[in-house]
Parts: sequence; C-alpha cells; structure tokens
Amino acid sequence: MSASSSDAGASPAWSGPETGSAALTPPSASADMADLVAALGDSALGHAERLGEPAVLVAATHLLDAAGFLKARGYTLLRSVTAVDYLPRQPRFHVVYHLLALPAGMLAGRAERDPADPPRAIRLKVPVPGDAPLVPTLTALYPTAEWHEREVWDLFGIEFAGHPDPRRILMPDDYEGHPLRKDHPLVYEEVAFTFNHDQIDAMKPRATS
Amino acid sequence: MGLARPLRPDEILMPGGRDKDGESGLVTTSLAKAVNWARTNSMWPALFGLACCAIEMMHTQTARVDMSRYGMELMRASPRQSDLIIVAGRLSRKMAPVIRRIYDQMPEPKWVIAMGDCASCGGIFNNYALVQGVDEVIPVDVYVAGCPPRPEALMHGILLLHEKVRGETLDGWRDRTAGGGLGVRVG
Amino acid sequence: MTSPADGGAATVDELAVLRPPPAPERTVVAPQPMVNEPMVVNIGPHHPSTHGVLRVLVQLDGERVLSAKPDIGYLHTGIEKTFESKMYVKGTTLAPRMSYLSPINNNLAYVLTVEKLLGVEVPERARVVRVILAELDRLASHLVFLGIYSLDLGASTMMLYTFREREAILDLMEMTGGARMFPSYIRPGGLAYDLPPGFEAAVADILDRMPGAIDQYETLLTGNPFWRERTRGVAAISAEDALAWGATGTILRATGVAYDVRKAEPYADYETYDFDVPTHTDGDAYARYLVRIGEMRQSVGIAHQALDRLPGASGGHITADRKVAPPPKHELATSMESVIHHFKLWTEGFVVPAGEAYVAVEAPRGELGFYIVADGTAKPWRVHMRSPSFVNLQALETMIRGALVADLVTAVASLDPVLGEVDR
Repeated sequence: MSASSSDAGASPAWSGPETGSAALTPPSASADMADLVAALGDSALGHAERLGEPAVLVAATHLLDAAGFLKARGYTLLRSVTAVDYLPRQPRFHVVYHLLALPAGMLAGRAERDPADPPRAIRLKVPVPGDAPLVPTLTALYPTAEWHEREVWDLFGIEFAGHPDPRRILMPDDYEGHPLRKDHPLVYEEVAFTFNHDQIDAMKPRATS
Repeated sequence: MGLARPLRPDEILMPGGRDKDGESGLVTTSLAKAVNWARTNSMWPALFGLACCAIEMMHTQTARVDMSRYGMELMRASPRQSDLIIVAGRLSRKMAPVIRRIYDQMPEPKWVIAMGDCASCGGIFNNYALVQGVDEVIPVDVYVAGCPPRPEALMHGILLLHEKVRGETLDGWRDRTAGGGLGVRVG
Repeated sequence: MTSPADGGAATVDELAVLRPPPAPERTVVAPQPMVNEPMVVNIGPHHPSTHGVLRVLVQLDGERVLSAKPDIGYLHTGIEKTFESKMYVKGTTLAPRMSYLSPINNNLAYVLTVEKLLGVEVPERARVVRVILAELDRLASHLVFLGIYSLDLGASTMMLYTFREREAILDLMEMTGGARMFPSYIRPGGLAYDLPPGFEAAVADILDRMPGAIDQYETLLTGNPFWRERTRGVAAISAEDALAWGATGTILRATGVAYDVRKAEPYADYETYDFDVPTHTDGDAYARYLVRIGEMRQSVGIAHQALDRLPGASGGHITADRKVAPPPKHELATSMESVIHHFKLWTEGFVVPAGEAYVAVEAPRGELGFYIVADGTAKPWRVHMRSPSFVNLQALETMIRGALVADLVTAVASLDPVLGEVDR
C-alpha cells in the first residue's frame, strides 16, 4: 500500500508485462477486503476504503474467523490493537486492529519493493457496546496481541475473553477507572493561572522531609 | 562552662556560637566550611533518570559539559551510596512510591534537584497519570526549568546547589521549605 | 572440696563437682538432599541498566532464567488522552516526548498522519529537509544505543565517543528549531520556519565526520573478543517468533526479514533515494549491533543524497494553504486576510475533516505508527501511537528464557527500548 496513492480503491500502479487478457493483478489489500467481506457474509457489518486504507467492520462473534482468514492470506504481522470511545454514539467502542501482510521477498531478505507483490495493510474494526464490553482474544493467532489487549483493558475497560493474563499494564494495579474513556477526567489538578495560583498552591500536598 | 544545661548540637555548631572552651565561632565556622567544602566537591548523584531529561543529564556527564570536574561523574546506582538525587524526568503515579523509597534509602545529608519542567511542576502534562511536581513526594532543593534543560542549565542548577550547601550549617541541609506550601508531611 | 570440719573424707555428692557435665543430647541427622526452588528476583524499576524505568520480574533457577516478565507503566504519561484536548499543531510538542531518543521521527510520523487526513501537499524542499533531519535523528539515536549498550556491558569509553558526535547533531537540531532534543521543527504542512543560514554547511560537516567515527566505533567493538563473547549467541530470536511477537525494526531485520517501512510504505519521497537495508540472519545481540552499524552507514548515504537535492528543491518550507499553515509575519502588516488566517490558526487551530488514518514511519526502533481518528473539529478525537518498543519488549521473554541472568542486561540493551514510548 503506497502511502502516496491518493485515489481510494486503486491498486498500486503496476507496469508489468502485458500478458494479454485477464492480466495477473498483483495481490492488493482492496482485493483481500472484498474477499473477506464475501467470506463473512452478514457478519461483515460494513466496509470502506478511504485515503487508500481498506477497513472492514466485523461483529465480535466473527472476529476470530476474520483474523484467521486474513492470516491465511499472509497477514502475519498484527501491528496494533487499540480502541476508540465514541461516546455518546452507540455502539460506544470500536476495537481497531491493524494487520500487515509482508511480501515473500521481504520475508526472504530482499528489501526492495516488488510491484508484483506489494505489502498489504488492512484494518479491522469491531463495534462493542458500552456496558459489559467483551471481545474474543487474538492471542492464539497473534501472540503479540497479549500486551495490546491488556492495554485496551487497562485504558478502556474492554474485556478480552480467553486472555492469558488480564491485568492492568500501564496504570497502577489498584487504580480505579479506565482513563481513556471519554467520561474519565483528564486532569486531577486544575491548570494554574495567576488568578487561581495561590488557591491551588494552598491545597497542593508538599513533602517536607 | 557557665551554662545551666548542655548545649544542643545546633547550638554548638552555629557560626558565631560558643564552643565549650568559650572560644568564638571561628573554629566551628571553619568546621562547617570544611565539611561543606567536602560535601560539595564530591556530591555523588543517584542515578534517577526517568525520561527525556535523563538524556540531557547524560550529556552533562559526557565530555562537553563534564560533571566530573565537580567530582560528580560517578552516578551511584545504589541510593545508599549517594548524596544527591537528580530527578530527571516525569514522575508517574505508579513510580511515586518508588522514588519515595529511594529517597528514604539515601543516607543523610541528602539533597534533591528537580530537573526539568515535569519534575518541577508537571510540565506540559497536566493529567491523571503524572504527579504534578516531584515536590509532592520528596522535598526539593533546586528546581531547574526547561524541557529538557540544556546541560549548561543543569550544571547551573548543580552549582547553585553547591552554593547553597556552602552557606549551610552542618545541619542546615534539612531546611528546604522556605517559601510557600502547606508543608504537609508526606509518608 | 574437703573441709577441715569433715575430717577430710569427701562425700559422693561433693565429688559431683569434679565429674564433667553430662554430654548434651545430640541426635545425628542423616544428610538431606538439597532442594532448589526457583527464586523470583525483581530487576528495576530503579536500575542502572534497564534503560529507564523498566521492571523485570525474573524467575531464576540459580543463574538460569526460567521466565522474565517485564512490568511496565512506570512512565505512563497519559499522552494519548492529552492529545485529545489540544489542537493538532500542539501535538508536535507532545509526540516527540514519547520516543525521546528519536524525536524527529516521532514528530514526522504524527505530522504525516495529520497531513494524510488533511490532504495537504507538502512542498519538495520541506520533504527533502525532513529526510535529512530524519536520517540525522536515526544517527543520533543509534549513537545513544551504541554508547549505552557498551556502558551496560562495561565498555564505558564508547559512551564518551558516541556522545561527542551526538552533540554535533544536537547543535544542528538547535539551529533549526531552537531546542536540542525537541525542536518541533516539523509541522503539519511542512516545516516551522525556513532553514537557518549555515544549515547545509553544518550538515555537510557532520556527514563528513560520521564515516570516520563509525569506523572508530567498529574498531573498538566489532572484532573485540570480549564484545563478541558477550553478545554472540545471546538473546537470539527466530524470524517466526519475532513476527509472532510483532517485533519490527532492527530486531526483525537481524533475523533475516527485510521489512523496512521506508521501502514497504514509503513516505517523504523515500522511494526516490538509493539505499540498502542491512539484514543479518543470526537474530542475536551481535547481529542487532551489526545491523545498526550498517543502518548508520546507510543513513549517512541517504542524508548525502538529500543534501545534494536541497539546492534544487522547489517550493517553500511550508504549504501555501493558508488554512493549514500560518502566513509569513511580514504579510500580517499588509493583508487583512492573513491576519484572519493567523488569528484562526492560533486560537482555534486548523480543522481536519472527519476520518481516520494510520501512517507508519521507520523509527530507529522499528515501525512507529500513528492512528488518528478525526471528527471534523480542530482537536483530534483519538490519537494512538503504535510504538515499536512496546511491542518489541514483549519478545524479551522469548529471547532470554534459558539464558544466564547476566545476559538479561545484554538482551534489554540490544532491544534498545525507550520507556517513554513503551508507556506513553
């Protein structure tokens, strides 16, 4: 996926030999997206490709099927797992997965980009309701998901069913609340200006010894 | 001696106070001066680099702005062998009990430099995750501003601390809360 | 003793004093077999060799590591949530403080994502300067890696040598943006200001010094038997494991997979530059060291090419789109429209159309990506940073299981984590 392509939905420019009709089209993430949507049927709640980035909206029940399908297509690198809180819109959360398929050449040690087999990137989004958010874990398919999912639990409160180690990872273990939710406050100490500086200073705890 | 009770240590050692032979503070002031001279010339910092300021602290140690000119290139990893803790970087809430423990493990006399904006006041990160100023947890002698402060700025802060130490009485390092704050005892 | 009154005869009771005391009761215990239990040792968060506030809980059987679980979060700064309350341009100050050893690349990743959402075109001159700065930033980061890696292993001289070159690079950063580490010089749309006079000479000077300096580092380390002994075969990982754990960057390239974002998903015209991607097949700490040395040499080459392009590069330092980039100061005196643009940009900030984008760059540590969800206002709705060190650190346990605990330091140092971006 070339970052400089600006037309949505176009495969990267390929100037290969003209072999006649039904020329071999290079694999592309758009084609993978179309195949995934076809394979999922009703569980694909939507798909779009904007800014050159294909994305599929998958129901949580079929996340493992979608991930398995993509892994079989060569998407071996799970780049990141994160979440977005769309409060007050429902469903409240989207858990977002970014996957990358490395071409065979790069896996074998050749760094140059081969137009016949470019790297492919795709995004999966799983809508999750706000109360009791639950998503299956991807750690069986992609071990790297372990820490990413712990972070999502820590910061958003979304549970991952079957996760081997569901603990907080960034906040202290006894912290209450999930900081990146939109209803969690950002600050704990008011921003100080000249008009409230003395007031804030008086309330601020200070160590004396 | 002519006194109703034995002198307390801070009375004996105050400059200008009288020692037990009735002599003026000349000897005792010289003692404080000598001790402070020794303290400033080999003030070993505890290695407490947290974030970006730690990199500038490393730059202060390397050849261009050389901290070992002041006897300070030995960053002791163990707080039990250090005099000074330069808190270089942002202190998160999870790390706050750790720094308090490190500070408690340092033998007295000990000094604290809050290096950078995050250690002084929370810096650009006014949010749930950071302690807004390391002086909420440990008392601070010198605040060095900057994000991150240049190595020269940190050096200036260290030299200010040396000046402060040179002017102290032997016990005077405890006095830090001059100016502002509720003075609530933490920990 | 006999008393004269007794007439000299000692009684049986009195003789008791002369008898030795009875031996104490003693039971003979048969020798027990020694029971070894694994010991859990806490390394960090305050530790000289953990590259910041990393805590590793190590379960040891003698000196062998049975498991090593990193415990992170001691530097969590809540930056992702802070982004949501600031204008997009203010993100250029927040972003570099996450990965503070490669601030330019971090800055670049954020700005590229914003520009993708904006759909704004960056002039060629700005793109060329971005490449120069990004490669110098890579050099600066690898210099710190070399210095600290050697320091952790006991070769403390290297730190003084590498920081000498790094000072020159930081002086250049200061020349461009005013600050040594975080100049925030790369802004959405281009660069913050035009290049200062003397920039090209300073860059040429650094690039002339670097190959000789890298040779000096290699002389000290590469063939050094102690260095090889400490790093060869240590903390090895296979390509499959590295991919499974999501490791990118040098760790993946040292196992033989040539994944470099500059080649895979080029940005800032990297597809027009001529450079190699050094790889190795052993996957151990020595391989990672060699790959980074190779990357340093390649960076010098790329920066040279960019520097040659600079005089002929077209365009200004920032896009002409006044909705995104502030107008030059001298226009404010004459044009009302410029004043309005200036006012809107600095009070409200530019508005980014709703959408989401993920753009990755090749940071010195691996793939650094920003995922930004924009909601059509002047502040982002969600900013997530895919930081390479967060993901690479997961591979630590696989690397170190079964090794000696002293190799843990080598493993962590060769991973080159920056805790600021691990914890964000």
